[in-house]
Order: sequence, then C-alpha cells, then structure tokens
Amino acid sequence: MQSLAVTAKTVITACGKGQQDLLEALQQGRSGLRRQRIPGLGFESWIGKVGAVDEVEFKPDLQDFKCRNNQLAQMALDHDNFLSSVESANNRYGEERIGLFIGTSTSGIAETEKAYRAVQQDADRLPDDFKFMETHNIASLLDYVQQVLGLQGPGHTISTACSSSAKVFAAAYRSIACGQCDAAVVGGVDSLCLTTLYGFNALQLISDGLCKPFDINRSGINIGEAAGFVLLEPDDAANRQLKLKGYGESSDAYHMSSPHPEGRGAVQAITRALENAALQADDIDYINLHGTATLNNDSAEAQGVFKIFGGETLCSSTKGFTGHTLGAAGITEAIITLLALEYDFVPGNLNLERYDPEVRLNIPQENQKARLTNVMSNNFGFGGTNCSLIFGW
Amino acid sequence: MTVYINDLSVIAPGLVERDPALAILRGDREWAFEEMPSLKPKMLPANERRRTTNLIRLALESIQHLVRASDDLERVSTVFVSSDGDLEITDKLCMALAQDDKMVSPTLFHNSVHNAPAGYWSIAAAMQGPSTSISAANASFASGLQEAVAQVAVDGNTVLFVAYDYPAPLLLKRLRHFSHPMAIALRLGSKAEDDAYGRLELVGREVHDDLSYCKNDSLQALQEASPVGAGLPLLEALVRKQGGQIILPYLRGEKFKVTVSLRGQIND
Repeated sequence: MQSLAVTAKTVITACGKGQQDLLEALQQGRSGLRRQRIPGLGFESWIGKVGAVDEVEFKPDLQDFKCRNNQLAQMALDHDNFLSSVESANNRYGEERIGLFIGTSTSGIAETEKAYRAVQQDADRLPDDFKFMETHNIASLLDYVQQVLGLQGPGHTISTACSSSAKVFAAAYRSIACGQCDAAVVGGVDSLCLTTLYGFNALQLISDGLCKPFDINRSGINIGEAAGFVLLEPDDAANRQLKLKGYGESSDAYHMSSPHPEGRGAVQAITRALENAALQADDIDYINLHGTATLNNDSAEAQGVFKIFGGETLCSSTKGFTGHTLGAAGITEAIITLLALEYDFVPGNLNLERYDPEVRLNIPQENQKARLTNVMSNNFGFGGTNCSLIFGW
Repeated sequence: MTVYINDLSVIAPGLVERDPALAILRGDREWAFEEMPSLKPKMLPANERRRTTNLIRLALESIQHLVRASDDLERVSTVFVSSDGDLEITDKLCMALAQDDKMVSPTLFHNSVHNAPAGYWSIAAAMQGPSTSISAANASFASGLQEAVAQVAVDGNTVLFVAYDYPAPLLLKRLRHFSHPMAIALRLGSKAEDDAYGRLELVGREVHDDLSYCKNDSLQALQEASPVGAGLPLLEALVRKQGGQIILPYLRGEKFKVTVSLRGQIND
C-alpha cells in the first residue's frame, strides 16, 4: 500500500494524559495499574483507571452525550494540540473530505448499567433522563467526536472487541485509497464498566495480581481504560515522517473466546500486513504484542509470531503499563509503537519475571535503546478477530 | 467507485422465503406481516445454534445464501453492519448487573461483543478472511456500503455485506424502537458474476433529492422499521431491473446517493 503519514496523535491511559506522560511512564518502567474497586464492583482488582474523567465538562449543546466513554474521548481530544491539528487539516482538505473511523468495544454501556439499577420497580421503565442513543449506541462516540471536531466526511464505529481500534487504520486507509476522503482521524475509546469486569471475571480471565504477559506464571488480564486519536494524511515524501505502512486482518474461525491454539489467525493477519507493506519479516525491528497475559492468548500469539519471525526480533507486551484497554488497545498500542519509533527505544515487557520456556521470542524485561525503522502492533479479539499494523519511518 | 452486486438476500417478517420475498420486491404481491418463524441457519451446527441469540441467527440466516461452493475462503471478506447490535443481550447483561450477586454467564458475555454474529459466521463457514463489524446508527446502511465498496475496491476481495437489527426487549424499546427484525445481505465484487443483479456506484452526499421510498407501498412499514430498512428500495431496484438513483439516510441526518445500473445497461 501507499504509506499514510501520521501527522498528529494524542492518548490518555492510566499512565497519564497526553503522549508525554505515556512516554515517561514507558521510559521509567512505571505502571498505571492500581489495586482498587470502582463503584459497584464487588471485588478488588488491578485496574488501569484514568483520573478525573467525570470532571470533563461538555459544551451546552452536547450535554446529552455526557458519559464516561465520551468524556474520555474529550479528554484525549484536549491533549497534544490535537484539536488544532484537526482544525488545520479541516482548513487544508475541507471538513467534508476528512473521514472518522473510531473503535470501541462497550461504548457507554456503563450508563445503561446505571439506568437498569435505577429502574423503578413499579414503573418498570428506565429513568427519563437516560440518553441511550447518545451514550450507549455503538455510534454515539462517532457522532460526538464528529461534532466536536466539525468533521463532515465518511465514517463509522468499528466494534470488534479488542481489535476495534487497530482496524480503524485499515478502514481509514481504504476510505482514503478509494477517494471517499483525503485524510482521516482514527481513534479508539473504551472506559471502565461492570460489564467487562464481571464478564472477564466470569470467564476466569482476570488475574488476581498484576498481569504478567508471557511470564510462566501469567494468570490473566488487568482491565484498563484509554482513549487515543491519530490524524492520517497522504504521505509527503519530501519529509521524514512517521507512517502507517501496512495492515493485515483475519478471522480465526475457531472459537468465540479462545484464540486458535497455534495462532493461525495471528499468522494470517501478520502475513497479510507484511505483504500489504511490501516488507519481509526481517524488516520488522520491534513487535508490540497483543500479550494480554492470559495463558491462551500469549501461548498462541508466541507460536504465531515465532513461525514468521523466528526468535530474534525484539517483542514486548505493554499491557503491564496500561492494562488491557480492550476496544482502545489498538490505538493505545499503535501510539506506543509510534513513540518507540520517535524516541528510539523498545519498551520492556513490564512484570515479566520468569520466562515461559514455550515462548521462544526475544522479549526484553527492561527497555532497550534501539533505532527502529519498521515496527508492528498486533491486536486480537473475541470472535477470532485479528489485526496487525505496521508503522515506520 | 463501482462494484457489482452479484447476489442479495433479505430476511424479515413476511420475507423469510426467498421466492415470495422476490415477488414482493418485484411488486407482484403485497407485503403482509407474518410472525417470523424461529430461524435455524443451516450453516450453524445445532450445538453452536443453542448458544446464539435471535440477532445472531437473523444475520447468519441472511448471509448464508451468499456463499458459493467455488469461493476461495481466504479471498472473501465480511462486513457486518448493525446500528444497535444485540439489544436482547444488552438487556440481560444490564439486568444481571443490577442484581446484588451480579452473576454474568460467560456465554452471555462473549456473545455481547458487537462482532459476535461475525465470529459465529466465521466459525460456521470456516472463513478466515478479514471481517469487520460496524455501526453508524441510522446511517448504518449507507456507511456500511461505503466500507464494503472500499474493501472491494482496495483489498480486491469478494465482500459479503450484511445489515441487521432486531427489536429491543421491553425496557429498551422506549429508547430504541425497531418495529420488526430485518436483515439485508449483498454479495459484492469487482467483477460481474454470471447471475449478477447489477452494478452499484456510490455517488456521495446528496442535498437536493428526497430519500427513496419503496415502490411497493406495502413495504413502507418495513422500510421504516429499522435502519436496515433503508436498503429495501435498493433491493427493489435490483429485483425489478429498474436502474437509477437511490437516496439513503446518511450521517449527521444527511442523505447519500448511490446509483444502480443493470445487466444489459453495463459494459461487462
């Protein structure tokens, strides 16, 4: 594919607000995970929670959209000069020529959870002030962000569980490549809710302790929340720019909540991404693994990655910093790989203490200085949905 | 951007069997409400079917007609489009989470992802190609078509597009009312297959012309039943072999124009 330039980016995670906070956390090996409860949660868990989300105020005409998910989105838009970057793009391309592709897994379901708790038994109806379409509908995030950014181009919300906001890059590329728009904002937002905490707990996929991706004693995920956005524009060959170079998507066609045990779908997504970028496995200098720290994901992903790259390419999971941010994992980790390219380092695999002998990958525990040219980010989700992205200079 | 519509399928009350459905779309018969039978998509093994929901079965019943035995399954992509996803599951989940013990079943949780129908489909059809599951609320049909057409144009695969929504359970009905379940599926490709219906071109935003309505007036209730219904005038044009423009609801309350040209009118 023809590369696209990454011309602006912003990210909010439990590690902090804006790129600089996340970069410092990565460089200092500082996790945003804390053992805590959230309102309504009957057990303590290590959670990657963002502070002061409920203090984010909305413009009077957008009050109906107010919910944690959209507040997290707004918080991201307010950082890293993202609003002014998009405004400048609007002036250059025209609002109707900028697409918006945005990923979320659970959207604002926390509002529906609250509304169901407030159901009046005798009335048998949800509270009158509950704004379902503006907060919970999968496309409410699209509607809200489009209005805040003043975008009038094509777009949709992608909701494919934990690959949602990786696949937005593929959708944006296609939309630009076939002339539906000239540039695109891509993003992803997922916020804490009881649905995912109790749901993953029911599947026995939440770790009691800190998540330990690829460790022999790994025992599950820590849930986090995050929001991030990236502005993609046609590549200006005259300048050295961060670029989206390739994408690959596949379906496991195996099981609803377990990956194919040998990483078949991962292999296909990675292979398609390499073909799409016209690169060889040897050209990839670092892989940000999905690495959720469940037994099955890490084992399957490690086998798939080994099959294509062998055991030398530097790899790590950064879930130990941010937690698994689910529908926002794609955008969060895309931005982490972009920071790795920009600041010449490979993030260490936080919380990895004892290597699993079956994981034959080159996973550093500590950060490494490295000049990187091409990097990959993998994200996989329930339903067997896989996406692999390649970024580079 | 032009693609060929090589096959189509619709499932809704009164439009469950293919031939009578085509007759209604052709205008040979009136549409009348008939209770939907319990759908049992034949591609789904019985043990898997028991774990699925009405919405999942609706989507699969519709898309299963569009696969060819000759398809190279690695070169087939799917675009699953639903404004609201599985409201039955949303209701059960939020109901469970409102109880003191907050017991959520694992199956309920993994079925709650918006891409659950796509996941069951990929397993049933052994399709390992790319798949996306999206929403654009009331603009879902037009925005979904944009994504499907972009996939054909850029990735070069055959794309199976399916739009589907199912009515909400009691509590959510006041907030999101769909009067009937409905699914519309299209088989799209860069080349016309032998039995192609016609050629689809996405024109873009439309400011002058009004939204298209079904020529068979009896279908109007169905067209207005959910965002999926927006696709009925397109199906009518294809089945009636009447080319021309179709105006669909789009993002921001805007309108979106597509045109349909039929076999014989096209140079292929």
